[in-house]
Amino acid sequence: MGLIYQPAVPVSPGKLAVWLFLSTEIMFFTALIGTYIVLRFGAPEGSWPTTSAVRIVEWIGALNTFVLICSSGTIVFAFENARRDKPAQAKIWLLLTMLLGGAFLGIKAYEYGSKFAHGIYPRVPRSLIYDRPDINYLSGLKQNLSQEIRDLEETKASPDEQQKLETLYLLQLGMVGWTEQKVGSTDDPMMKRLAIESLAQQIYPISDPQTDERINTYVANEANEVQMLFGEENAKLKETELTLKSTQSDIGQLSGIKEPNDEVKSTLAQKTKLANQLTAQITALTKKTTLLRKRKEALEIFKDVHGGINEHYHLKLPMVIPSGNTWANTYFLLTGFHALHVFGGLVAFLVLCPKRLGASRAGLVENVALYWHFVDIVWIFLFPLLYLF
Amino acid sequence: MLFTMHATIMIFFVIIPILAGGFGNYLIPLMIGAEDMAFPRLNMCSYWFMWPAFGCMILSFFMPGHGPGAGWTSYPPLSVLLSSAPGSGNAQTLWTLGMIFIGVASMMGSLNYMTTIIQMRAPGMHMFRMPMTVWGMFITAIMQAFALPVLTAALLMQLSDRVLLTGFFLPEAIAANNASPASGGGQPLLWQHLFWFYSHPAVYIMILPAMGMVSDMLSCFSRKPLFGYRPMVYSITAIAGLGFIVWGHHMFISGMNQILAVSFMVSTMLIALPSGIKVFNWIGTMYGGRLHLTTPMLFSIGFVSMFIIGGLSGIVMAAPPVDIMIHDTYYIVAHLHYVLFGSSILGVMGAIYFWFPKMFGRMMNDSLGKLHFLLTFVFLNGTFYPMHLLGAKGFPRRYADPYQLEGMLELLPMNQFMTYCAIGMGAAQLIFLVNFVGSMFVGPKADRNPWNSNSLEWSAPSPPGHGNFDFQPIVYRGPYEYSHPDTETDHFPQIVAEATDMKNVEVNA
Amino acid sequence: MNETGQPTHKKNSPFIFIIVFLMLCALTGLSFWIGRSHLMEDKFTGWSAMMAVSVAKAMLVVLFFMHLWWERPWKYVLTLPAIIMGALLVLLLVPDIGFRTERYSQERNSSAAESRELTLDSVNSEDVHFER
Ligand SMILES: [Cu+2]
Repeated sequence: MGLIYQPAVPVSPGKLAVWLFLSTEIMFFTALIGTYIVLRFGAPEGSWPTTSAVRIVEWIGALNTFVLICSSGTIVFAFENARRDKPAQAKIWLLLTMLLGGAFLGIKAYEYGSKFAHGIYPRVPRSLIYDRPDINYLSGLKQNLSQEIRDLEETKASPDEQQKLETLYLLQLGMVGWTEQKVGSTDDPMMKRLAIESLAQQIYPISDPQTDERINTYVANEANEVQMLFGEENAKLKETELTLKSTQSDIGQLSGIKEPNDEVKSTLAQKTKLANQLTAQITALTKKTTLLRKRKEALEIFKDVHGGINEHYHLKLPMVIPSGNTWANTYFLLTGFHALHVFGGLVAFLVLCPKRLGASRAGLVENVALYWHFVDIVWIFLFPLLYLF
Repeated sequence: MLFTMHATIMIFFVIIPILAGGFGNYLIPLMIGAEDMAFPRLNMCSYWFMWPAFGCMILSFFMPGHGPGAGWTSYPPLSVLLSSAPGSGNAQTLWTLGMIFIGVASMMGSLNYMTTIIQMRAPGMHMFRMPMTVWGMFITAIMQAFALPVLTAALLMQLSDRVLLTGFFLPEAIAANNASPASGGGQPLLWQHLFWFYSHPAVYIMILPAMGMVSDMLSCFSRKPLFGYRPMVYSITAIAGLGFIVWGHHMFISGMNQILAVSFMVSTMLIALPSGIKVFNWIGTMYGGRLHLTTPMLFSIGFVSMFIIGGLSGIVMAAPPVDIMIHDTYYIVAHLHYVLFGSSILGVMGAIYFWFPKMFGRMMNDSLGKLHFLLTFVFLNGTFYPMHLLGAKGFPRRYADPYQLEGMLELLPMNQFMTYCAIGMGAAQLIFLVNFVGSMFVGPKADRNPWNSNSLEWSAPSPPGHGNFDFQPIVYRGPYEYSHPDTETDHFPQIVAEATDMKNVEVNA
Repeated sequence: MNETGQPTHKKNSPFIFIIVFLMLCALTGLSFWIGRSHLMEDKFTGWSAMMAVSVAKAMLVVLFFMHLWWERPWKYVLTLPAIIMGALLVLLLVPDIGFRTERYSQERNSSAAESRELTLDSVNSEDVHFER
């Protein structure tokens, strides 16, 4: 038998339940957004990445906000038409809403794609983001690079890949090898850090005019130094080679003597020793000059690389973005769960779609619309928090 | 691993489902005069979400490590690093997944309860004519609705830490198995906060419905109106409200901010106030009443006395200095079992004896019930009371072999005594089982109102068929009008309009 | 009231919704503009302004799109506690997580993220000297 009740609020149970559900959703998103807020504003001072550092494009976010607001508007009209018992119009507005919701997800997917293309994922091992330019980063970079080279060497390469391999070799020696040598040769921790920092900046620049300038000054200074050093060392090398040559010809002459006396013998021994020393010196110098030459080459080639080495050569080498991992975690968390909610709304629309949206179903349309507006409100807060702060 | 599962299964699969799931679904519509819950399909959905949750938990036993490795609190980094313990692999992941399922299921259930109670009360049943049981369930549903989403969000983050290798809860420079330190700025404390934001209210979720049911039983068997009905309602509301801002008392030794710790201490001690009001009102209800010492009444009195002990030890440990001393000792174990087992489970048992006639149309055997109560009550105290003493001596929980610690060996006899009591307590439950199953088939037939109780469900047929009521219930008064001066009988059901109508009711019944 | 519990609000003609929609678009533009304006020079001012705009937008959606303007305010009874509870949760997270770096150990600090400026400030890149 149908019992009569005394409802406390003048709405259908369904609508009440939707509002209650939205209250629980407020708590759910509070936990997520709260996590973001405390992790973000509690991050070590000044370390939170700027939007450009993580390749956030503000206007795309604004566009998405606009799309979602439009869809909120269209669902209002869908409900108004259903309420006035105009099912055909209601359906058109509903379809429009679905289209806009789909567009939102499409734009989101595009944004995700561009993050992934830059190698920005949540965390190791897939993530390539390091929090600070330290020795861990350098060894990670070295490992990653040699792995890349090994992979390329194995697949007997096309000319394109051959060229890429050349670049990688140059990177390995002129950038990573150089920095390693530099870090190894100094005790000053600040110098170490600066060397790695400039390397990181060249691989993945965190565009910030002030910082860029300082790094550029550093690199330019270094280029001069390298140029000078290379000249000096090269001269030294040439000189040593000449000395070696004369010593060797001396040795040839001395060993030509048929019956050497003691003096000759001792001179010969001396000269041989000298020759050995010189050879060792030359090896060391050659190594040094090679490194310097590679460094020179690398500095020249990678000097004006637009957007950093990673972007220019389509590489995914480890990069330094302070607090970048926490940024990625929270960004994907918030936008991901929001996108899931958008998707849920689309599914609900899809279920509504084949039905006749007359006045009898207005309540149903309204309930789904309420949920959709809530999803919109969440995005209204996420947009400034993630894109503009 | 077994500890994890004991806690998880008891809390999330026994107490909460029985209280909220079982009694809630059964009693709420009956007590407010509704045919059914507002959304039967949502209810089914919630029920079917329980099964994958249970499946995940069972499955995790068969994974390497035989059960999750991180305890029911699942603290990171132990719960997040995949190689930190034998059960840190798939077993832990399955546990997390199961918890998410059960969270979703409970949330759907709580939406259903709230809507039903708000919208589907019989004419005349205003909010302040609802039995305390319904109030308890209502407040519980509200707490679940607010607290569970936070736990679900935290669990999802933990799951992503495990599966997608994010780092929400992993601190900087943490290195496992000689791997190079993973970068990240996650915070283990964040998990603790989010977890306890749910799990402290969960304590009240486990006890508020039992409090409500006990209030009903006490009033019924004292044949007296419930002492201070409105203060009772306000105090459970206050417990619920305060329950949301005390979670930090579980984290005093986590290295949390000291000012925060003190504010959590203050709010925790404040909860003693509404709890005290409730105890006072229960005692006031019994005082001067004509007590009928039936089995449900005995269990209710047991509930009240155990709650006093459990509550008092709770106030003791609310102070950070004391808590730092007894943290992770058996004192805590004693406290939580007095509250959860001593109170919640005794309340539930009483409720089963009380509403069994309504559910199955037959009475349970009273003598067996009293024996069951006596044995349970004695062994319960035998098991859990010595834990206070052990804890005060510093006996740690969660150790495989605490006797290796200095000065612990002398405590061995006490532990053995507790073990015997626990076995006795388990055995006593067999009596209950026999009584329950046996009474279903051979118990004496019960009429509509075997306890001469007032609330709506006792006016419905026993067992109530489909649609619950065979008449349109209309409510004229609150549920606690026992020994009303105008009536000849000592009860005055909610559906009866005038005292002179009582005779008709007897005929109808 | 009709059967769906929807108050019969004749007043909400489509114009209101269009106006609200346009206001929402304008406000989106406003917060975008704030993000690039001089208000962001002082971060705190910029953030507060943007949050104020967001709250205004949310209120517009709640009041008009979700019909609270025309209905009795019972919904606040459900949503306000959630909002208060949420605010409280975030507030109580602040001392422990928000100010976490204040209590970092030396060791932990040495592997925490660090701002670039700090790295560079400690060295003057002009007088870089090299080992010969
Ligand atoms: Cu607690």
